[in-house]
Amino acid sequence: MNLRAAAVTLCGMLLAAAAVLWLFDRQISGTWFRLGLQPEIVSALEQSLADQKALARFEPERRSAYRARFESRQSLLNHLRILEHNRKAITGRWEMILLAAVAGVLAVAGGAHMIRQGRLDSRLERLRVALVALSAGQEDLTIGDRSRDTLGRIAGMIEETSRAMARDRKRLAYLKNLSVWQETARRHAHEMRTPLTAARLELERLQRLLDREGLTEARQAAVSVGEELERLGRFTQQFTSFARLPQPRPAVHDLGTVVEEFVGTFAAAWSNLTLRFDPPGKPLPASLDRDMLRQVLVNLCDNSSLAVRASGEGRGTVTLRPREAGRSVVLDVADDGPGVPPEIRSRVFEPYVTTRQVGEGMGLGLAISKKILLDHGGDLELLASSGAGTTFRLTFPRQAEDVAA
Amino acid sequence: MTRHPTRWALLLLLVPLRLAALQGPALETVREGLELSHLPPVLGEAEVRKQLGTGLTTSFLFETTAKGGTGGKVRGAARVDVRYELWDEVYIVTRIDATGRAVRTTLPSFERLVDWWRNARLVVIRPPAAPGARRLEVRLRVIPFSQAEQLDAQRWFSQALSAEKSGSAGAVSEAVENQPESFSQVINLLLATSIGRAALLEYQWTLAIPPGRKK
Repeated sequence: MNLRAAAVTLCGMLLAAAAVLWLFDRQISGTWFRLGLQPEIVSALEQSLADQKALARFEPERRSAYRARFESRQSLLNHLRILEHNRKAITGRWEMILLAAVAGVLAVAGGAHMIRQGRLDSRLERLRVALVALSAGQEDLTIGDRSRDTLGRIAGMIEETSRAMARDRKRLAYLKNLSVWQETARRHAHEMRTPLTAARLELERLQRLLDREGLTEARQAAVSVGEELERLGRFTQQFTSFARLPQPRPAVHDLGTVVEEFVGTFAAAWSNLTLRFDPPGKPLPASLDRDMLRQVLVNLCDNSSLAVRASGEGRGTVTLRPREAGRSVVLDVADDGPGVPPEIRSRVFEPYVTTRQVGEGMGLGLAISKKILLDHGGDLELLASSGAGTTFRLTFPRQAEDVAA
Repeated sequence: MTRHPTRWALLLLLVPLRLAALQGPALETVREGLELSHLPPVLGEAEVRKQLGTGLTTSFLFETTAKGGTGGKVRGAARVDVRYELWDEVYIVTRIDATGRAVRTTLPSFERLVDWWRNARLVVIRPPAAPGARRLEVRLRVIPFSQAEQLDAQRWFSQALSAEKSGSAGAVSEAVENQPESFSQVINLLLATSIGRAALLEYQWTLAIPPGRKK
């Protein structure tokens, strides 16, 4: 606490209190007291005493009545004289009472101020510690100040900032890691494409020679080699696609409408899946690239379909549930498949992580999907996974409804 | 509060004047003890005379301290209460001294009161006390009203402040009436108890104890 400021405030309060005290004592209390002890009142009472005695002399038969009145007046007169004698003592006591009242009020006010200042200092210290932790890179800070005043709002902002920083760090780390994989894929694709093209050309020439010579068996072997080269070409194409992911071109769309359209269009795309749309009940304007979102949803449904097939279950259901979540718009995609194996749940978005057999897939789908969502300014998370199913959450930045309209 | 220094300065100026103006009482050693006689002519003082005319009980309190003896300080006292009965126009005098006797006298005039005062004798210290004491400090305080009158005034003042239903207290602001009872009573009590019996006048003398008192 600033002692100088506190001393100045205290002096100001004391001066104000003294002024009020002086005004009250001199101009209000003192006036009433002086009025009560006016010399004219004493003179009037003395005159009344003399009158009662005189009246008693003139009317002896009513002497007792006059005497009673006389004694009553005398008693009052005595009281006034005693008060007059104690005027200074009474006013002094009154001043002391006022002083004590003012001192009490000041003490209570000062005490309340000090308690409040102490709490304020404590809250400021918590904010300082939180800011130090924030600057040191600590994530997901919890200050625990839920007050609705300025400090409480600042605490909330620091917590929100720390959460945003944590999200950005994870996002950045993921993108850095992904860019390394993309560069690797690009190089592999580049290195494979040239010899692959040469091999195809040579194979075509070989097939023409074999056709001319009529070597049927050798011609069959050349066809098999050609198929393998085609497969290798598809892998190379996947590498290329992964390495050259385009940037999304988002526009404001109602997420519910986009998802409903997807479900309607792709309802029959997977023979072992039923797509179910859970409508949000209100417009959810979000900034998204419709085509890229469709690519992500196709990828997720592909995974669900393969998982259902691998589990031996006849048919599965994928539920798409767009919702509002704070400042974001989310889409939960939940299936009732066997779930992601626990050992790869933490690495499910890393490239080349897959549960499929060699040759059935490269494990790039979820990595590409997450990259798409991150490029949207959102995210793709594995929300839950168990033997009863898996839920992925797609998060999009929310747009103002008037923009959507 | 700033008046206090002025009051003390005035008191310092007045005390020597009083001492010079009034001759002290005579001190005798009698069978009952140390006795004051030829009481100082304090009744002639204008303030005292005015006070006597008010009808309140004026107390003349003699407080004595014998010093120089083997027994250390020995204190004693005597009191004369004078009340002027305004209706009957007589002075009612009550004398109480160290013998423990209270003697009440009714005097018809101020002159008779002065005579009584001049001839009054007050035993202030009983014989077994103060053996070998050499001097007696006498302090006379003129108190303007009795303790009973003080208590009566305190009660009346408190009632007046409380603005009781009788209405005898006169006009008291509604703010006072509306105060919480307990708080109001505390304030009233504090104010009422500030009514004290400060002395109207004070005198002090130091008298030599006559040799006959020593044994």
